[in-house]
Amino acid sequence: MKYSMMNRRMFLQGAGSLLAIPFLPSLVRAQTASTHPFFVIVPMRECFDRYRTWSLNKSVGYTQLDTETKERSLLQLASMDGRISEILHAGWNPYLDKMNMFTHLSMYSSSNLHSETVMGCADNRGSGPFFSIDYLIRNKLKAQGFNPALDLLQINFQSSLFSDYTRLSHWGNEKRAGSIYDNAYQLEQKILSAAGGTGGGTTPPPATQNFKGKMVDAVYDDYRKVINSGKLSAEDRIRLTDAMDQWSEIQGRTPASTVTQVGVCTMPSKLKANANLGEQQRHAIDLVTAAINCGILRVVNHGLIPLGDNVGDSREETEIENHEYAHANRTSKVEWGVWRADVVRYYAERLTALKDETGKPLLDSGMVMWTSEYPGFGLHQAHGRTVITVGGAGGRMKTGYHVNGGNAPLSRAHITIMKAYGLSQAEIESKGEVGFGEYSTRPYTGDIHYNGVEWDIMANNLNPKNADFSFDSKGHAKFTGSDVEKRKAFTSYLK
Amino acid sequence: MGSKRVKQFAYGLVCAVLVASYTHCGRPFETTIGANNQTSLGGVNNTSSAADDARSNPPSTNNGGNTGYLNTSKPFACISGDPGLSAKKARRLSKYELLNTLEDLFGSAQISNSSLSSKIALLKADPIGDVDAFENQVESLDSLLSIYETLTTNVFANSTTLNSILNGCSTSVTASCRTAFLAFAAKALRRPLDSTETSSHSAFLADNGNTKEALRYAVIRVLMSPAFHQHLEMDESTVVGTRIKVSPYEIASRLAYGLTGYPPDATLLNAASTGQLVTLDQAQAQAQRLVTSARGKAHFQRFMIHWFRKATDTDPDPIVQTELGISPTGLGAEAAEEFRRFTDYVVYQKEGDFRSLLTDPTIFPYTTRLATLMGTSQSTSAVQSAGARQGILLRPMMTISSGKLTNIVNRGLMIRRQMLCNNIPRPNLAVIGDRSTGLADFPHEKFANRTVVTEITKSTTCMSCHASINPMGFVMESFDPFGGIRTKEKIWNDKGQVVNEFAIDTAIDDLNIYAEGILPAANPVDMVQTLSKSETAMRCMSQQLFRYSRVRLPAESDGCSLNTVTDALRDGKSIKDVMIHNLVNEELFWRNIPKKDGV
Repeated sequence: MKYSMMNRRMFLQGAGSLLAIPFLPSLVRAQTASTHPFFVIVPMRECFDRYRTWSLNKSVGYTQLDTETKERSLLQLASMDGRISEILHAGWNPYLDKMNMFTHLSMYSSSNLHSETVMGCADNRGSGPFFSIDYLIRNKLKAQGFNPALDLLQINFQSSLFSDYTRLSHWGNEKRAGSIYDNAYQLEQKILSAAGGTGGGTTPPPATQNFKGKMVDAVYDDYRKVINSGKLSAEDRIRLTDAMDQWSEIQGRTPASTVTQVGVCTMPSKLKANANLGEQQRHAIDLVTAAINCGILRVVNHGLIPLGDNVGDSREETEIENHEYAHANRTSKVEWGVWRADVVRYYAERLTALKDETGKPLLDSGMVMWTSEYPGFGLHQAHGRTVITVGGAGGRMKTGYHVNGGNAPLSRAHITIMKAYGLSQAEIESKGEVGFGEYSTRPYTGDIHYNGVEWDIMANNLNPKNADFSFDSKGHAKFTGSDVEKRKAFTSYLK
Repeated sequence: MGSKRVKQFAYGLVCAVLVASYTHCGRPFETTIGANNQTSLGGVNNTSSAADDARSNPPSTNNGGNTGYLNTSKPFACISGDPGLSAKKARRLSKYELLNTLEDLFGSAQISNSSLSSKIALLKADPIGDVDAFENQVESLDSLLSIYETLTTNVFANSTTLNSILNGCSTSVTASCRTAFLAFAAKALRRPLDSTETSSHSAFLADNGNTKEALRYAVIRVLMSPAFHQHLEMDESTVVGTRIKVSPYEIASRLAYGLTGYPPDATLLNAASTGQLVTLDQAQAQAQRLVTSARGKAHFQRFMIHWFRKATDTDPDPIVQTELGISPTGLGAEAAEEFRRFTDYVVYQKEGDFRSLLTDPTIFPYTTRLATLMGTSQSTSAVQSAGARQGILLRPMMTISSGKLTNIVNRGLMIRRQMLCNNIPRPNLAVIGDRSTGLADFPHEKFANRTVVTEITKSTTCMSCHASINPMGFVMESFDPFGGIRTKEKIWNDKGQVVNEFAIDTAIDDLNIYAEGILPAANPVDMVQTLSKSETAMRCMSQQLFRYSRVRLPAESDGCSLNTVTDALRDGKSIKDVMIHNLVNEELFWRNIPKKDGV
């Protein structure tokens, strides 16, 4: 058969370029459907745990993009055993081609306190040299004419830690919203108002039937399911992805199927009494996504602190439990990581179910950015940080990759995301500092290897050299020595 | 261009035609041109030293040449427990399979509708015989969509037709219509729909108002889905070590496409659904039924075309009109039909074996022209030849060429490649250019074709392949270029006048089937008798069957399957049974775990 064998590098390069294909229709349609931009950031307390929970399959090799950055496809990773890691299980597979995982990133700040790490900009308790990502993106959207009724929603379930989180991202002098318990009523009222006050949602406009458009979309989904099944060889995946490319072109030429949800604001069900933490989180996400769909909310900061349906309750529990958990190095608690991952996945699920006026999942119009304070339990590591994104920011982000940043500054991922939302470097540096984040002169060791093997999406911190948080001066100088370095983005992933 | 250069060019052209489609074959022989000069015009002797050398350095049969055959000079490797371990890529339905599948779903009248012909013509043609050239990239989806839109428009325009395909759907999409549609989808996908698919298809209809137009696009959706136009084997319910047990429905597809080129019929699907397709005996019973069906027989005839790569019927040169008084027009098609009747006779009536296929003397001179060509009387029934016509290789279809000269090299190549599975690569044009120099002294008007070919190919480099090619072609020199039997070689000019005659020399010292010792042959019958007992030839046929039925090259790990077929051929099993052995063996039930790391 004329399907020539490829060497590993060629294959990965091929796979890399092909894996973007599933988003082609999203791109095509996003260009005409950017009426629902949104940005959700989900910062986690502690806990982008490393080994046992996040370990990625090392048998899928990297393609080296430049001297620092390497990439490999998420679909390939998942296809090894149907999942990316213990935490990113097979339930994530439908979203793999809409995700990016930026890993092996480092924090070049002078301190690693909680308040300075989540946003990566070391804003020094809310008054530092940079505004936070959510704030900057919100401003950008406002400048573009998106003035939602509800501004910059902050969701936080843990009152006792809320003060901590208010310091985590810099909103300048603006008063931010309170926790979800403070906001839920307000949000519900806004949605009700947009829904006509009935609580049941408006009647959708009659749809103009477009059978071909729907058939084309359905076939596209059929391809995706087969390709994402994890049951194909790499070569077959490429071949069928090739076919998806063809189909995407057909899709681009075919008028989109009519979607009946345009302008519909539907009130989610009320939160039931005595709901557990998982139900609370999902209800909050129902509200938030409904509000985004209604166009009354664009930017959300959803602090994720609990650990399970009944673990780490923020209302009744004290900070102690979380802190104990964080520093106890309880890495066997994979289920906590799964639980948090599933909360984030619920965003992807809801935003996929909701469609924009072209029939495209709402998820394609924006992005959920998932990040954490520290790369692992127990230590305040400066290195091995991870940012996971779901959604293509309106088609401006190339997705489907695990990106190994090679110990580059965490801010490189942040700048990438902001540029995907159209922010200029000047807008990112609106407080006058170069780059995005603090670039301390304090050296540290950025060793990302364990026994010489890159085996973890987290930079491993088992190397004793890292225990004192010392910085490697050579690496530090490389990444922070010039303005050019400080302003770098992962440009390969911007369209 | 000066006259000398023209002559050189002409010889170059001759050489290029003679050695059409191969290059240097492995290690050059140690003999030199000078060493050969002494006997270069004397017939076969000039190749003996080269052949001796070639015995110890045979032409490569597994060197990744352009034909991709496994080495046939020794038994295939078979490690117990290996069946199913070779990498099996998902494969698209070939054009032949696709059209057969559509015919099965919609009826032949719909598929042959003239409104579709120009669209179907745009689909990739299946390469004849050369599975390595099969392009597995998904067919142009634009082309497929265009075909399906037209096809369904035609079907939906006629309520009787629609009702015959989707019973109960002629007026609206009722509950029974939806049931019929889901059954149609399952038939198209060659397996039951899973619950997700059922919901998805039902939802598609419901979301679109259960209208007929929605139903039409639901049908198109099924046809456009990868599960339809690909051979996808995704059932992973039973994994044993590094192998996955193939599901009964997947077995049904393997059997049906492998033995008929069509999707599984109702009997086969029923066997799959009732657990009657899990043992070798059960699969064998189904295979027996399929292989003797009309579709199975047609599929076998297509195999013969693919085996010998004879896709078109060649009419002989018009000189045949002068020589034998018969028109050449359409004679090639008659020869092909004669060939078909012979193979049908041997395989299905006589239930003959490999030896019969190569040596049975029955002929079918069903037209006057064929009778004349074959030197017998016209008859509508089988006739026993005097003995010079034996088996598949010595029939008009295999010996007719369109020129005035026999094509010795092509005849030899055909046997080396198709009967012995030698990987003989394409010729090196630079070498051909070298050979053209100095050959002006050997014009066809003055020398027998065998002599000219011997001279042209005598260089060390040429002989690295021609030592094995030429003998097979020389033996066949008793057949003229029209496919008739001759005792003299006649040379005609452009006006059809005989300008020279030569005695026919068909004797060779060795057929050069290297692994089998020295095998002299005095004539073509000797050769086919030898081939009929040749292990090499049997191993080759096992590969030919494998390639045809699976549309892929066999890998080393397919050795157990190939040996099964070779054993059956050696044991004198009927070709019919051999076709069954080819598919119904342990490999039928397994596939490898797909490699997901891209390496």
